[in-house]
Amino acid sequence: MTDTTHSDDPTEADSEPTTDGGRVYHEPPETAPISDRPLLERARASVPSGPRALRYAIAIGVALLWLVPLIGLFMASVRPLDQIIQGWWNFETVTVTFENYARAWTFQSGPMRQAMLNTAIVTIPSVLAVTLLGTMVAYPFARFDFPLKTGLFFLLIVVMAAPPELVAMGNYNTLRQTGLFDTYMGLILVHIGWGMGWVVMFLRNFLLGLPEELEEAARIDGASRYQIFKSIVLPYSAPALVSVAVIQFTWVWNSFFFPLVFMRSRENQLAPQVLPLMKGRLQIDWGLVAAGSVLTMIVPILLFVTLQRYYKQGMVAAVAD
Amino acid sequence: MSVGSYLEDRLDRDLDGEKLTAILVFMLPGLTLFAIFSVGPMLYSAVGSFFTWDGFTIGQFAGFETWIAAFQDDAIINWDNLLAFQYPMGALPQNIIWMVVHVPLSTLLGLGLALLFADLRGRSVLRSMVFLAFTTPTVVIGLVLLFVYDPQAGIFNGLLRSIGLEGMVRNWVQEPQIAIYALVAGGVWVQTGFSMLLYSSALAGIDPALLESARVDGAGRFRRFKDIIWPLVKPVTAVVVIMSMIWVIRIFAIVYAAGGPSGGPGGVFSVLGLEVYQAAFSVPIEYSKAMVVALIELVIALPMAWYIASMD
Amino acid sequence: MTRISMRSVSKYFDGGDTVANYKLDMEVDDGEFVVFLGPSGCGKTTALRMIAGLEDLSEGEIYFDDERVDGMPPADRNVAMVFQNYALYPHMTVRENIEYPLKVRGVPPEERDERVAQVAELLHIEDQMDSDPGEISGGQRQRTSLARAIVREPSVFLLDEPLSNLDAKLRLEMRSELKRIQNELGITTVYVTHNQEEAMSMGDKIVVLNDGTIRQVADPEELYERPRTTWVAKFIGSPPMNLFEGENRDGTVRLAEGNSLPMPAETSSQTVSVGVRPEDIDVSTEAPDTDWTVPGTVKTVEPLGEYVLVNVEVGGSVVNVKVPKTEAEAGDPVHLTFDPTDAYLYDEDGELVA
Repeated sequence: MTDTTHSDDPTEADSEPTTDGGRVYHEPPETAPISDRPLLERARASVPSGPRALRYAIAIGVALLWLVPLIGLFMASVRPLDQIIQGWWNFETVTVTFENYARAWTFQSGPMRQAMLNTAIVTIPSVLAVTLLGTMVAYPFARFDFPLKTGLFFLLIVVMAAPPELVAMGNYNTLRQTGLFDTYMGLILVHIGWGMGWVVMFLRNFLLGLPEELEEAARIDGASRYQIFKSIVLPYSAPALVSVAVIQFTWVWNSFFFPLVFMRSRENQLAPQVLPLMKGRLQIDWGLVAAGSVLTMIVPILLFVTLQRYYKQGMVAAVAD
Repeated sequence: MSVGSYLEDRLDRDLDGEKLTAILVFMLPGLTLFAIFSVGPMLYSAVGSFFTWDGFTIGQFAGFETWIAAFQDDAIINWDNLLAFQYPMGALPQNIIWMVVHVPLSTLLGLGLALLFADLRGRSVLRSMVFLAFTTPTVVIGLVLLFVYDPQAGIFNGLLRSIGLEGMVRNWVQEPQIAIYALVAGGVWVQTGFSMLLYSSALAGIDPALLESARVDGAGRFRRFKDIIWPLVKPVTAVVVIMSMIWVIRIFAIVYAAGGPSGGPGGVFSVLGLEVYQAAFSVPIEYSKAMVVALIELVIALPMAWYIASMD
Repeated sequence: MTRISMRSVSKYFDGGDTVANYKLDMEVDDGEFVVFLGPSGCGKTTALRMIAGLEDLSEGEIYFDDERVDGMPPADRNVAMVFQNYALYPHMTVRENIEYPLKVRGVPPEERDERVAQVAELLHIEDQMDSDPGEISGGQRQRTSLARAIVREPSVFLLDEPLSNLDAKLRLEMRSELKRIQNELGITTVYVTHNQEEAMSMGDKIVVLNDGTIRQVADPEELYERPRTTWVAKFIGSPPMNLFEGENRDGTVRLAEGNSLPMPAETSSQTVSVGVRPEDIDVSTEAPDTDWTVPGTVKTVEPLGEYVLVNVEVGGSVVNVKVPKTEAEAGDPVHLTFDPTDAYLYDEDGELVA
């Protein structure tokens, strides 16, 4: 048996000649063997090369291409009309102005100031209500058997498939008769009833995954059904509820048809309704249209950007189940 | 029967009663609104489509009369133009043409982009960039399309000028025989993001070991796609295709914003939704026609939704 | 028939911030069954994937016989791989799964059928051929994935923890099955596992890895008999080897407990450790008539049938002792003795001295 020789530098080889016939063993370095890889080489290694670099280029190009129309809209909203007519992509003379926004804010046939407020007044309550009421319907739907369950299931699918126009006539008459036509409350109720279809379906599918043991444990602890709903079901479904709320918010905020039909007076108009009015008769005032559009879309886009995880998850879950 | 089992029985029934009450309390508020504002109006339309209407008041039972009339209405189907393939062909054929062009394009583009972005760094940002248009109000999309196709300020015509196709410059949404395709392109622009999102999540769900195994087995890029990826994303393709079809059937705001309630010059890109709106809410009020057309939309969409719901 | 050589192979991730493998040097002889053994995260799977061609090398070379293969796509290396989760194509039947590599390589249908039938027989899965992978048991899935790898008659056979998803009984069964097939076919095989029992029972040669590098290459007996470092000593064996701290007093070993061992310390290091396998230690409640013992206190006694495992606390650490039977009970003061010729001496760097 021979002694081993050992060196202090862990990266240097030390040999063990006897048992393995001169095999060389290495002590691995703690992190990276920076010393034996020049900085330049490391930098080069982290930059993709060849086909992969090409893929990056194409991917970034395509993604930018997809944004071009929206970039154009934004550019038009901050430039005067004569420059927009020259093409927003011309940068020879660039004047940045907020006049378009000012005009949209106070637009005569429907000031955005009022319209955005109206949209918020309608959207927020209808989203909160449909989320809560939808969960309350979805929970027994996912968990218990009761008469007419299959029938209800069928109705939910029919409503999910139906176009909003199908319920417009009936709701028009209902709102007229109850005096809710052309009121916030009327439109809010229509949105709640209409959103119920997909919200219940979505949350039912989610709650099917709620482990029964959780509820059983709570029942053994003496919780009532209402306590179980409050302390188990709601917290458990929190991520799904956020998804529902974000998607429903976007849908209600963006919706055009229902306000068009049910909101008639100038001071009750919602933002999406006002936008086509901005086109004018002859020459379209692109600056005004663009500023109004940006104001309208900025809310759902900011919501999407901040909560996109929930939005995307919800989108996928909503249709994949 | 022993006292114990009797008691148990009682207890069970009481429990059931309590359960039923709880179910009712939970479901009643939501279902009431659902019944009043969704189910009720739908039944109202379904029944009403078989009656004559005087403005907003229901009249005589008319059987299939209004249904037959709808199929002879030039705004719904213009048979002569349809046979000559000349726009306007009516809202129903136009809506279907929109679907036929739009759905394959947005699906394939969505799949293509999902594959392109799949393993890149920053894919989440790239996906968001493509998806952004889908979160934009559809009315804004319609206006953006008008802007893109504008003869002076539009970037599409600007592009034509810059590649020397000066003669092609025109207002594309005012060209009767082309306008619908210009709008379809816009629809594809919006919906590709949605298809891409669904495909991305499906691709992420494929076990990477499957693809590695195929690589070791000797399958090249194309074979891996054809033999492994495509069969595994097939169920998602069904969902993507159907969701796109339903999206197109329901299309409204884009067309309204781009061409007004009439759906472009002479209704060359009018769609079913627009016809419902026109019939029900502009003079002359034709409630029965509106109901029939809305029901046609439902009849087209319902089997597809049913198919998705019964998929798993 | 292929010999694999890895020459100074390193793999770095994150642009060099993570070291997955460092300077691996080893050979797998033609027809040999080599096991990569190591704890999770030791880089054994990465090493295997580099041989397969699924990962690029950061440095070094890999040869199959005399042909350099790093840089070649996996398809050109004629390797077959079995994945930990089997990686069966869920949309194909068992038959289609097995057939797939042949189909990709353009083998004509008649020959395909014949070869698929042959491996199906070899692996006893003839009855499952038309089932979907989701319908069959874990063991049958394992067999299917082996069949898919074998059917191509690869020159190198790579297995990544193939038995870890099976229950204990099946694992034993598949272990001998795998060994039988490998013997029958004589394909050069690299097998990755963290289970030393698997490694010991199957490997012709075992490569012990830790922290991305090779700690020892040896056949199973030698690995058990002569662990080259304290790390390997503590890794191999169940329970692993006990290590007693000690120091080198003029050529003899003196334990921390104060006893000198009658064993030579042929090393220049001052601090040493003495390794003794649990089965080589004796435990007694009375002082034996040797001139040295290691005193301790019994913590627990676990009668395991075949033997009794006694955990003895010695100077703050626990020593595992395997004895046929014992009278000692928890709390008893005991004396540990062992034959110094059964002990291993490690120097201050944990290298084996004698």
